[in-house]
Amino acid sequence: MASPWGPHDSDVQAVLHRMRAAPIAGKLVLVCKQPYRQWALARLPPGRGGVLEYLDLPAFTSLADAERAAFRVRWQEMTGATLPDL
Amino acid sequence: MKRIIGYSDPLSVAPGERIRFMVSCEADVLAYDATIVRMTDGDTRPAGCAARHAPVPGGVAGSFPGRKQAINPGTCIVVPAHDAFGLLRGLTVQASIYPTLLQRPLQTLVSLFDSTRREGFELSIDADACLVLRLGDGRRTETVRATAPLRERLWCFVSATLDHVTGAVLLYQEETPDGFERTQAHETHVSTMCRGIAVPACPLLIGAGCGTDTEVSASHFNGRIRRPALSCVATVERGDTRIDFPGAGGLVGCWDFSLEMSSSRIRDLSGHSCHGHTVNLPIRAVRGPDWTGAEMNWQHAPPHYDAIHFLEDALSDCAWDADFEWTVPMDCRSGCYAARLSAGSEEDYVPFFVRPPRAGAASARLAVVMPTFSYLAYANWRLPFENPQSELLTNALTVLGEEDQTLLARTELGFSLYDAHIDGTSAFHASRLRPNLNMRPDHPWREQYPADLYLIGWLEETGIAYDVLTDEDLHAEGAELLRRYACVMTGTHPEYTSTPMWDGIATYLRTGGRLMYMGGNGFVWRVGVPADVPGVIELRRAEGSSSVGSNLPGEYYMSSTGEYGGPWRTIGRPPARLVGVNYIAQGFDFSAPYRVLVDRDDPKVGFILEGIDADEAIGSFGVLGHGAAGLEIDRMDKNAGTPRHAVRVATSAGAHTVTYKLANTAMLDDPEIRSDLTYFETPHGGGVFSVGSMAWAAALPENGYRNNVATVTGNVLRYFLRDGPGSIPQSAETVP
Repeated sequence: MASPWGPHDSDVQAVLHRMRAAPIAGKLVLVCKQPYRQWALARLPPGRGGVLEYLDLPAFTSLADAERAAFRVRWQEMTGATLPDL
Repeated sequence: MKRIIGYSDPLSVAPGERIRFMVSCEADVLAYDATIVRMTDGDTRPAGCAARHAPVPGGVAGSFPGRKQAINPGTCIVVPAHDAFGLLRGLTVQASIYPTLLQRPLQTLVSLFDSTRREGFELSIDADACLVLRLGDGRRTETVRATAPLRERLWCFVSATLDHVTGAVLLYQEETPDGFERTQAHETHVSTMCRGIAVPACPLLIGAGCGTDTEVSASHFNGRIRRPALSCVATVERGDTRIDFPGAGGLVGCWDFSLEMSSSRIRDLSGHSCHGHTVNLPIRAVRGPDWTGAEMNWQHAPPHYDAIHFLEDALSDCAWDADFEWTVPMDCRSGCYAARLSAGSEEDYVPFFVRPPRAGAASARLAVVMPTFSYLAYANWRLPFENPQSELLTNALTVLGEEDQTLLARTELGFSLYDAHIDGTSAFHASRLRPNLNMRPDHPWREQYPADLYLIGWLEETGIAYDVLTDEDLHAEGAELLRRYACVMTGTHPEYTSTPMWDGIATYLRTGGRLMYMGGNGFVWRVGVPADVPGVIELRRAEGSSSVGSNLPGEYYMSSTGEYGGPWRTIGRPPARLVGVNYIAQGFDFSAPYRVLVDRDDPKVGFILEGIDADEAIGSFGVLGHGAAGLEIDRMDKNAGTPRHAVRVATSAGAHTVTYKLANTAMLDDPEIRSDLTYFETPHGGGVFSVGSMAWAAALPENGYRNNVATVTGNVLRYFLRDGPGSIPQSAETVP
């Protein structure tokens, strides 16, 4: 979690790849609200022509914080467990 | 989402010529300001190192009313209203069809119908995949529906006929045998009140139905149609009676799509000259029901390719009205420009390029060729939000900028060559006559146009004079255009190239020209340019198109030029033959630095490294991945096109992340994923310097353009700009 873009060991990278390879429908993305300054987490629509569904989270002012938050959401969805605060 | 968007026509304009700007605003944008600005830097970071986008003296500056302009995607053939249609009272209309997406509300195959006046006929497929025939006698309309559905991706002969004496209608469908699957034939007989249609004074449409007040066409068909024909003679006795040949009784029109396949013209064989033209570029030179595999080239067997693929979401031209125009002053400096459109916090930049005057000498010794065909190839690219690979490629969450958010919400803006139409067919064409939201200076992905502006920013910083040309200019004028320059520089991703462009560069290099290939994954795809449809490129993805998939076998020859499409290497022209390096890998997380491989005292290449220490890492910084070697990278390969006298000056071998392997699974065991700085001489004092990396130019802005990537780039450019011929020693290894 300290460096969300790596480099990671192979086990962590394997988990990340599984998360990042999720189907496109409902996939988490970052929506840029202010260039270089503010981003929000949202889910992609189920198909072409649909709309984004924003997560009920405050906007992020750091891309790294957004990566960490997305990792927590995905971990919860994949395992059913909530990651402890570090 | 962007609430103001626009495009220009042309994209490249010379002093003294006029350029038009087409703008569309959302309803709440009542007015906007427009200013012509010169694009002098791409560094949009808050701490960016240069002032940007200076207004041009004498440019357009004013306020204009906002209005929403419609986009009408969808392909069809238009046959203008014709006296021969007046023969119709009873009728037979038939064609072979190959539906590719049946779950749509209504898809029309052939239409001669005016819904307001209740005149004409229209043969369609309804939401239940059944044929429907709508008839209008001027007083009422009557609709007849088949009782059996059609099936997707099977060729099927369909016929609809009305006996105007009895009112009898027959709908007939007969699938073409295909392998071991049992095919079906079905007849639907219905009695109607219609005693002959009234003939409307409107065009006949193939592949779409009549439109409303604001649309030329509607209810577009997805799939292929072969040889539609129309007769005034009813064939209610036998549904399989064919009328699709010259001399058939009562023939009004018979359209043979195997004729003039390189054009937008559609020929009628009936003798009435009911010729037509295509709209929004349906795909021609595709397999018809008679294709056997015996021929793979449509030019050798046109009857095998007598189908056209229609698409409800293809777009070649928005055809918006111009909102303002600008006549470029004769003293306007060549360069990158844009119309800046703004209303409060809403803003859009509509980029265009001012080339030097068409006649006379160049206005600089250096030309930068902006890779506008590659901008088209990626225009309105939907990969970030439609392809699950997106996040794997970057090894980071996908970030959607305002442009992506707009594309996600608006599907009518047309596709990139990496996208699929709604029926799954890959896009074959890309047009500049629509807003291209990837060609925007603030696009968050910072590739292509934004990255090319880093190069422009560096040139502005150095004070070295340059002219700007585009791929369209190079395609049209070839080597004659380049001969005016001591040195030619590419953009950061000149991936898509026509044959005249390739040949133009090769001829320029054979005659003493000097080329700086400033990008990665360049000169990879061969594209065609239709002769009679402006602003469009065509791509066929032939075999070897690994990462993006191939088109159907037998459909690798472009309709526009007849040339074999796909990767240049499949026709024996690996990019390394032109620029010394071949594309080898991609990764979009961290870029890498280069390490020097040659001695700075080397008389052949030492000039490149002036001011660089032998153990100095080149480009361990940059906007794209914090390194100069990254994104898409190329390497030298003397077994695959690189001239044997080429020198590998520096390399990024061993410095790339695991993503560069994982994004290129074929390369998993290849230790040689690398970008190579490469140099070689060409005849008569010419030379080529290649960086083989899309990220190189994005390292230039570091530290106010004072860094070792800028040093190397400047060393080469100044060497190439020296008076010639002769400043570059002729290599004994080049052809005389």
